[in-house]
Amino acid sequence: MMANFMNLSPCRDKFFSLPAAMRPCCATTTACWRMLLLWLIAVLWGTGSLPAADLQLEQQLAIQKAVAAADASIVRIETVGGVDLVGEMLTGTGPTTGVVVREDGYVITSRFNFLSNPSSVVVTLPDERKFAAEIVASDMSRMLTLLKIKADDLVPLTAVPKSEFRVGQSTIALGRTFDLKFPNISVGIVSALDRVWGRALQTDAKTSPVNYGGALIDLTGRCLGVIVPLSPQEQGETAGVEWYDSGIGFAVPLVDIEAVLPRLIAKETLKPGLMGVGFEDHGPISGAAKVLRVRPESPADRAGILVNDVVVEVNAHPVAKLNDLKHLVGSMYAGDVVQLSVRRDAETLRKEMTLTDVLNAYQFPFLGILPDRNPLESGRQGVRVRTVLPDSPAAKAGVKTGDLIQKVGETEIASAAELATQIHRIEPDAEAVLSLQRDQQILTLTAKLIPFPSEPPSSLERLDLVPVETPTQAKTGRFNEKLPDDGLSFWAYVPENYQTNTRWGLLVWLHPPGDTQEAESMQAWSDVCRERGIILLGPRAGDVSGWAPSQEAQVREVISWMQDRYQIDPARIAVMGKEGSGSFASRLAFKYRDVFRGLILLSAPLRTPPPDSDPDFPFQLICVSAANSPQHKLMTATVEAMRKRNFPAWLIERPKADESVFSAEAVSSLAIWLDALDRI
Amino acid sequence: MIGPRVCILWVSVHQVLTSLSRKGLCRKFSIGLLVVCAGLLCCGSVQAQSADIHGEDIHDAIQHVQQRMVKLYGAGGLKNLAGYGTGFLVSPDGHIATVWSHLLDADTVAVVLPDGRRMFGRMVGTDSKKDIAILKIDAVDLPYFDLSHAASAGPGASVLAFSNMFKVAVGDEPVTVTHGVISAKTDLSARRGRYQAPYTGPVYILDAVTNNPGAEGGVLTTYDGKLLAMLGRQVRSDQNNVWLNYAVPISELRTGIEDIIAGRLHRTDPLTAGTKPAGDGFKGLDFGLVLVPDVVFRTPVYIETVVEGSQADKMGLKPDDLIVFANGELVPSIRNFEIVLQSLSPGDDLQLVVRRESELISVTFQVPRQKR
Repeated sequence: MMANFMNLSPCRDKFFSLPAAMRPCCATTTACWRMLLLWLIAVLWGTGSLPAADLQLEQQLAIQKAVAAADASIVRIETVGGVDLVGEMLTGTGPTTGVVVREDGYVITSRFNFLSNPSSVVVTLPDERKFAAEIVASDMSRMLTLLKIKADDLVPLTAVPKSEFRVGQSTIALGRTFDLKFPNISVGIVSALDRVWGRALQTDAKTSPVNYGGALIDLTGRCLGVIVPLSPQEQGETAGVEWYDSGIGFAVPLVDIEAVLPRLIAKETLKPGLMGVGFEDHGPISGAAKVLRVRPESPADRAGILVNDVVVEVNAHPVAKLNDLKHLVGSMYAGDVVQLSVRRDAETLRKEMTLTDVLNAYQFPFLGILPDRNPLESGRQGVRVRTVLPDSPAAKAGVKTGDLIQKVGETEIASAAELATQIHRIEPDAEAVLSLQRDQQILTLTAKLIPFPSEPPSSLERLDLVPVETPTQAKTGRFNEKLPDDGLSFWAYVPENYQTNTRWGLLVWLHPPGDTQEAESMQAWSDVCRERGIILLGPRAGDVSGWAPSQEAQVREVISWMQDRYQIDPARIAVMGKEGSGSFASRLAFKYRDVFRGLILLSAPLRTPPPDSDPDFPFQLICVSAANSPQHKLMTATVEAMRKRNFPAWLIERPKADESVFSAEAVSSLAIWLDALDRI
Repeated sequence: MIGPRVCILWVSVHQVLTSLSRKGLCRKFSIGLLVVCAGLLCCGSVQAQSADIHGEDIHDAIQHVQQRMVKLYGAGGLKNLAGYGTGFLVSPDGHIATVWSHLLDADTVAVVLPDGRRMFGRMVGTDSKKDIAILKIDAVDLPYFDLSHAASAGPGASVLAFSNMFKVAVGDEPVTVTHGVISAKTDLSARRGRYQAPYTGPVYILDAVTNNPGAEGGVLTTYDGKLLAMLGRQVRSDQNNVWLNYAVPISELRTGIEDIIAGRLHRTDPLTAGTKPAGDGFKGLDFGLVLVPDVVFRTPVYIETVVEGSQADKMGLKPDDLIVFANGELVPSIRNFEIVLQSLSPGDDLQLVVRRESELISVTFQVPRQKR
């Protein structure tokens, strides 16, 4: 190439036609021109790759340009009136954000902005026009609300198709809560896709009430999704808000919202879709999707799904493990039609069902025995029957005190917990086949189970404990303790006859505000604790105004402390609240379903909505109320509400309010209830 | 970049060598061209270098700022109040600007300079409205920020924040630098528990984590080290209870700082105690409006009745109308509306936006000359 450059003969001729004075040199003129030409080419080539512009400035400009492109579709929402407290969260009065989703006046926003139930909603556009808005419908699965204003020249955002989502791509979170002129922005990346069971993408841009309901855009100004607070662990109204500004934020893809927009416009409230099937949960590393339970009258029941079926396909997507199923169904709504393929024995069956929004409350089955808490003789395995409750399925089947239940169906059982688990897998009107040992003989009895009755046994013989040779080293009697690091201070009573070879019930007594009532509690309960095998625990609130929500975790710590040092029966942990402490006690019981089996409310009606009956966590309620007290009606209503949800709930009615803190009759009834809390 | 340079060099040298043997104009021309080529080469190199070591520029900018930051240690250390903070030098005589926080309640405040020297600073002045305090140390010729060269920025601008949050920097270690983006510019309305933030002027809301113990009094700069703002306290927004990351623009603080340094005192706090509203205390009735009883914490401003013949009647307001905006601001409750009315003066306009069913109606009242 260089050789060719040197032979520019045509130029030479042109050059020599110029006047002599203009010729820069003589014989090597061509060479000079060649040099010039080369120089020109090289310089242009060199400067063609520009000096790298300030990268930071370029990024800043790109962000500002993307925001400008999306600006017209981000609107401000203000509300008037409404409650100031939702659950334990103070609602703000400030403005929130929405995204225009159709030009004829539809705006989508986060449901978070309307939790306070405002009386009036006003939407302000970026051009300062204000409109009264009406709430059209909500999506309870993705926590979105659709609004309508009387405008028809709005600018909706373009949605990014899911095929273009990339983990790591830049995102900008927009809100319009500080300044009407400019949206407030936060910059981040897409952290993950298909979070919260397929409902949202995750970003590390800061998301908070400052931009809930706003848009998450990409650098081209198109919308990836609408920002909402969500949590994979909880489903409540304020779930996920505690993660604000943490680097974990969620946005529901706009393409998903557009897909259900016609349903929302038609004022349909969208709810998460339920099948009515329970699976064996092996935790996060789950196994195959094998059906453990089918809720009666549920879509799965009607479609003919049976226990032990394995789900292998959902809507043409293969399901290798339970998590796959949860991801596929978790993002669906009630009313959606699902095509399943299940494997039963050697066949694969196709089933179709329509998901529902509400299932019948789970009903526990009842056998009617109380397990013996004394340890078995060495070499024996099974559950010894302490008492057979009168008129129960066990009584009718011929089970007797002293029988050693060894098998339920084909499954061998080694403990009362295992017996309970096996019985709970059977429908409340189906049969349980028990294999038990009585006086060297093996018997097989069939019991027809019934729904778990609400009424506890009215009388119960106390359990005689088998004495143990070495007395315990643990502290018994009444003592005080305080947990370190700002933990709670509490008193406890461990009966003097405590021994480590059996497990003991735990009654957590939450005193009403102001007075810990320690002396009265000790006097009323110490005898029954010794008789019925109960350890009494009395945390102290510390504040004269009563219990604070932050103390829930601290009470849990105190219980853990006791569990570390004493043999506590997990089937007999109950919490008791009286009057002012009733709401704290019930919130505690519902929060820690894996800990508490029972709740005792003394003259304290339930004020929070009760949870759903959960087959993994049996739960019972007992209330004590005076017939002439103003809350008696509410207490009766509380018991009714719990029974409706298939919780065993019972009311002990006193003729009039007790003068003393605890009346002897109430205490003995409660003690029997506590003793029988582990009945199967 | 290497290719063209080598090419030019080779060609130029080759041609010059061949033409140097000639005489006269040709030689001068060649040498001139060689000089120009060499010049361009150097330029290209410099440009190339600055692109390759872009990181060097920001490093210089950061060093420039770090030399002007100080670490403060004072009162605190109990419960949730940190006993440490940050400040920045604002004069050649050792004046340090910082947030007027609990840190300065101690008799002595220890100031650690960028070179690790530890000195005691004394407070020479405060401005409670701007929430700033000026300390002075006995040191001269320290590098300082010239407040007249401070910059300003808008939403989307990339920024750097410098502070000793969590007292990570000890001794002569430089304070922590973090990056972020300006999220918005707005007026501050925030509190922490019952403590209301005294400054209510314009602030930058930041998309950066600056709301940490020890960050108060730090600085916000552009990516090339120009001073933008002073980092603020840990407070929550009044509007939605979230913790705010904010910084106060230097343009708001400059006059106050310069006055304190110059010793010019002027009273910014009102002499009279209490919060007497500035206006003449008008009521809804003065306009012919009877509102619903204020019973719940946030009673919406519904009109109960309209007095016949009054301004409200003439404007066409009716019972059950909901007053939503007053003079451009949302009125979420009757309490807020009363505050707005109380601060009106005769001759003012009162512009109300009222909701009737699904329509928003705007009416403007003339505030009457005298109260009834």
